[in-house]
Amino acid sequence: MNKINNKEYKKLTRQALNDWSAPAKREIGLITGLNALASVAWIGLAFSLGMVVEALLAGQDATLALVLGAVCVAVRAGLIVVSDRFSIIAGHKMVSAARRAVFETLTDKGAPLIFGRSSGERVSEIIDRTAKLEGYAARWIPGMRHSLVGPIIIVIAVFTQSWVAGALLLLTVCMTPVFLWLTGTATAAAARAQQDSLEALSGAFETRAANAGLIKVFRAIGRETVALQDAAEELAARTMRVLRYAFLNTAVLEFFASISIAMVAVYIGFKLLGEFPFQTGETLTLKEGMIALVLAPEFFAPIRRLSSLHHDRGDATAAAEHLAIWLKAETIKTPERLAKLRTGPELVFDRVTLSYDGTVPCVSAVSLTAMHGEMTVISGPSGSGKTSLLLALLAALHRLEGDIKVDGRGLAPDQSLAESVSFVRQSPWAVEGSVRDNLTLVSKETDEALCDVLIDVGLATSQDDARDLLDRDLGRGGQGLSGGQRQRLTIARALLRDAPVWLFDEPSAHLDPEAEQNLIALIQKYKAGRTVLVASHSRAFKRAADTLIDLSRLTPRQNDEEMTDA
Amino acid sequence: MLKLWSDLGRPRQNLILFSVGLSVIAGASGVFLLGLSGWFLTSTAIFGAAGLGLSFNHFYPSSGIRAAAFGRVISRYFEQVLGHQATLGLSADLRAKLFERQAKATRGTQSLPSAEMSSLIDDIEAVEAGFLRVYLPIIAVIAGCVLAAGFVLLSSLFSAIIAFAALLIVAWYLPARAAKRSRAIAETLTNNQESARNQVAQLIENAIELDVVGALPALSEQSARSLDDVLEQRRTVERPFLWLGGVAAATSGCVILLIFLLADNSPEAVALAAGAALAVLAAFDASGAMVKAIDAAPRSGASAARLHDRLNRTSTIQQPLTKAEKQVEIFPVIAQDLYLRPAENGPLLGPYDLNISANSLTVISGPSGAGKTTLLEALCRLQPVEKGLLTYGGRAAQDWRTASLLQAISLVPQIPSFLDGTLRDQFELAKPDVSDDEILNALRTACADGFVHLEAGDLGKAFQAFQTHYSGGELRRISLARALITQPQMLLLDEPFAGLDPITARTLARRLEDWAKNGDRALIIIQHEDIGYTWSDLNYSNKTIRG
Repeated sequence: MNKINNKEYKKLTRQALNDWSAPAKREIGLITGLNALASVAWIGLAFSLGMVVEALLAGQDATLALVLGAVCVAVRAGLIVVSDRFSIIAGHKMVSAARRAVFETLTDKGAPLIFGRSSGERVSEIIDRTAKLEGYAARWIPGMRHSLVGPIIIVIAVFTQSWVAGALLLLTVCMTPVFLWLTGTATAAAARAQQDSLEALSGAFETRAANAGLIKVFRAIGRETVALQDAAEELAARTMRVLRYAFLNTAVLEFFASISIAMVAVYIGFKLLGEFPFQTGETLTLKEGMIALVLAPEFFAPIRRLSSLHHDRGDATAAAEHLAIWLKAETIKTPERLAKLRTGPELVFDRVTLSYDGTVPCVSAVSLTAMHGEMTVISGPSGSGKTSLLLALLAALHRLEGDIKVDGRGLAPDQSLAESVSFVRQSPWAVEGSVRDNLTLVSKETDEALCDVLIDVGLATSQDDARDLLDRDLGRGGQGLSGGQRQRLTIARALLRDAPVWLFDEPSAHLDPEAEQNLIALIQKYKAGRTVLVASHSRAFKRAADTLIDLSRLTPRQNDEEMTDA
Repeated sequence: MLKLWSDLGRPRQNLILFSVGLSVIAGASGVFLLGLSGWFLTSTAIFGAAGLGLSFNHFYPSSGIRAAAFGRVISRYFEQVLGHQATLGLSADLRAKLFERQAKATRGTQSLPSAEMSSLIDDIEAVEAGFLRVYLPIIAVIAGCVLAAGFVLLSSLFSAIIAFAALLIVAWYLPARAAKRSRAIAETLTNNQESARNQVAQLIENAIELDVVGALPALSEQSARSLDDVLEQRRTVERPFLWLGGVAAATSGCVILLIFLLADNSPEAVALAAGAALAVLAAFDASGAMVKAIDAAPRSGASAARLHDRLNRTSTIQQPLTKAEKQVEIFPVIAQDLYLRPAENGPLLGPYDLNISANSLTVISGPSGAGKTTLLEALCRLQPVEKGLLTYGGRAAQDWRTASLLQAISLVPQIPSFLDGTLRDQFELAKPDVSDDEILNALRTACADGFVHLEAGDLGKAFQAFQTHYSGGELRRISLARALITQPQMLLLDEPFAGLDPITARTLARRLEDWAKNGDRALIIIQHEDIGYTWSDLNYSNKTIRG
């Protein structure tokens, strides 16, 4: 079971990496070509250096060869600059593709996609996790391709000068898959271990910093500081063990590369001195030797660079896996949106038990009735499940038990009243842009209609006034309007949508008493023909309620029996 | 960076010095290897061509090449190992110290806002990366450049001066200028990044509302576009750096050209020139690392400066430097015209008046926002006294060591919070040598013995506040039991009965009353609703506060 899942995850991950890197295909192709040309430019440099040395020793003029060398260097530099530029673009294209995939899935599946984790974590998944993909398209794929193409180009050039030097290089290249595998697995493991340990350390630090007040009350600052230090040191030691191994692998690769270059150098050196003891069937001139020697490091450069890119691949694979599993999860059920109701229904909750994660209940066996044309206030302390009851109507959490009836008809756990609902939270959303933008997002209406509604909810006193307001630009989160005005804006939206069910979640949490009274009056004004449910522990709302449901008196706990004797 | 390091008390000095030394060796040996090889090969060729192969002493140079090759590999390896060891160690020190200072400077039990927390963690990571990715590479490059200039000096003084100047410009001046220029744009970039992030956060936080009204697609598209814009701007910021690699390579070509042009035609001079050319090539190649380092330097520098400020933030609670006392008498606790400020820039709340003695119960009620929780936090010295008087046992709060007072005071916050660990760890936070009997008694008083079973080994089970089978109300009672462990003289309870059914609430009230009466203790309770319990054994007083 687990193995199948693992296989499937791997397939998903590969698929995701392919899909998201696809938009950067053109750039990746260009980078590969440019890198190959850069290798050719290096060959040009090697040849010109050989020619320079030869010419100088022969007492000839070397200017032409020198200029050729300088040109090669300049061309190579230019190629690398352009290829780096494309590599940044490729990386960004991949990140952008992944982000778009998330947003498209969000558009497709709706809000249920983000359930299950805090909004902070979701934001960091969308922005930070996707950013980890950058190195895959920017460096890993081009690096991998160049580690195949680059050495081949160089070794051909070496063969034209000295077959022994070429053979020496080829001999070592046969071992590179082993190097790659060695360094690859080790570096990836090291990167992961380091990432994990840093995250764990951050976590340990975070919970302690978050609970600083509590730790202070228990006079435990000193103790917890020591505990934190110990935990960090232990993690450091663990990371070091893995890192040491990974560095050793890199060192071995470097060592072999050095040995191989040294062998080429020694062969050329002794050959030139005329002291090489074996017949190799070639007479080596200084020019040929110099060329072969300058080419040798470039032969290993792409392979060495690749070994330093494994963390790019590791990071990207981990991120892709995480994102793909999230986006492709089959547990995300988009609720069925029932057709819009014409008038406010009678809502009946019958022993409803709800849960955010599907196992631990947040509301147990709650029964209540919300009547048409009334404002029903659900009160109770924070955490008693007021919000959950509202969300149940949107099928935004798991209903474990119980029935909800809408005008007598059952509402299945995966059916949502979203089409008929206006849902308002304590800090209503507003987008950057004009008030008009904020209203037309909900419903496309003429300016006249919008102005009427603005006057209706008391945001403006006259048509002119309302027109000015329509054009007023709001900052992020509705900056430019007071808390009370923002709530009025949400009522305006609810009116524009003509929603028969109004759900409010702690609407007065950020309002002063006067604004709160105004909001209540506004709700009273419009409640006829609608069903209004307010989750609030504010006294003013409780007093104004037509029906008050107090959750703290509703929920019987199972372990009561054993306490009644005390 | 250095300031931050001295804040920490200059730890791990030897390790840091060693890795710096190894960095120098690694940087120098890379250049030395190529320079010596170039000279050696050219010399062998010259001698070989002249038929003098046997007279050329190739043992010293070739062993020098071997030594440089080995030295480079080995010093790189140890530099990485020691550098990482130093960094990981420093980060352990840094986190511990930061936590300690942070804890001393916080107000109340509210945790850091998540944005501040994540920027703090970003800062820590930027500083950690600083040593490894900024300082060590810069040192290695400088060592390599100096050595390369030395090689060129053997060939020609003039070339050496030119080469050194070119290296200085390419490896230092240009990257620094590019960094400076991009920093100006970087600030706007950071702002845009922040605002795109906020936009996504708003989208996610309001996803349900937006889904309901059908605005999710439009706003998703908007967010995607903002994030793309930020990526595009980042490309603009990085552009000046891109050219640096090209400039470095082109300059190295010109310098090599110059070296050969200025060299004599004698065989020795040609050999030296070849060595110098290759050394310069290696130095310029290594200077590519400088670009990244100089780019990252201001960022980790700014992070280090922020953390330095954070470490030197003065504690909000002023207290004398005397040692904590063993036995303390805190009653009566008196507040007169007391004003508090729940957040550093928040509004002033008050005035509050209180008079608390042993064997008493004070019920505090009032509208939300009136500062009930802030008042409780002030009573256990988590909030500074802004104005007015707060005395314990006749001594002003400011004249007490907080540690002395907290032996006798404990707080049960409204929202219980726990550290990761076992259930037992939670109690050990309050008292490190707590016994099972003490825990059992506390659980009983807190009405938590019905669902925590010591005999079933519940204490040893992993306990994480967010992943536990205990309900919110149960967690609250565990948090109460933990506060009881310290046997405080004064217990502050923030909404202890919220969410409890009336019967459990009354049972809990009775047990708390017995506990207080039997130990001459005082209870202070924030309570919204009446639970229908008559407190007959304690001196009851009711305090309504207004914002």
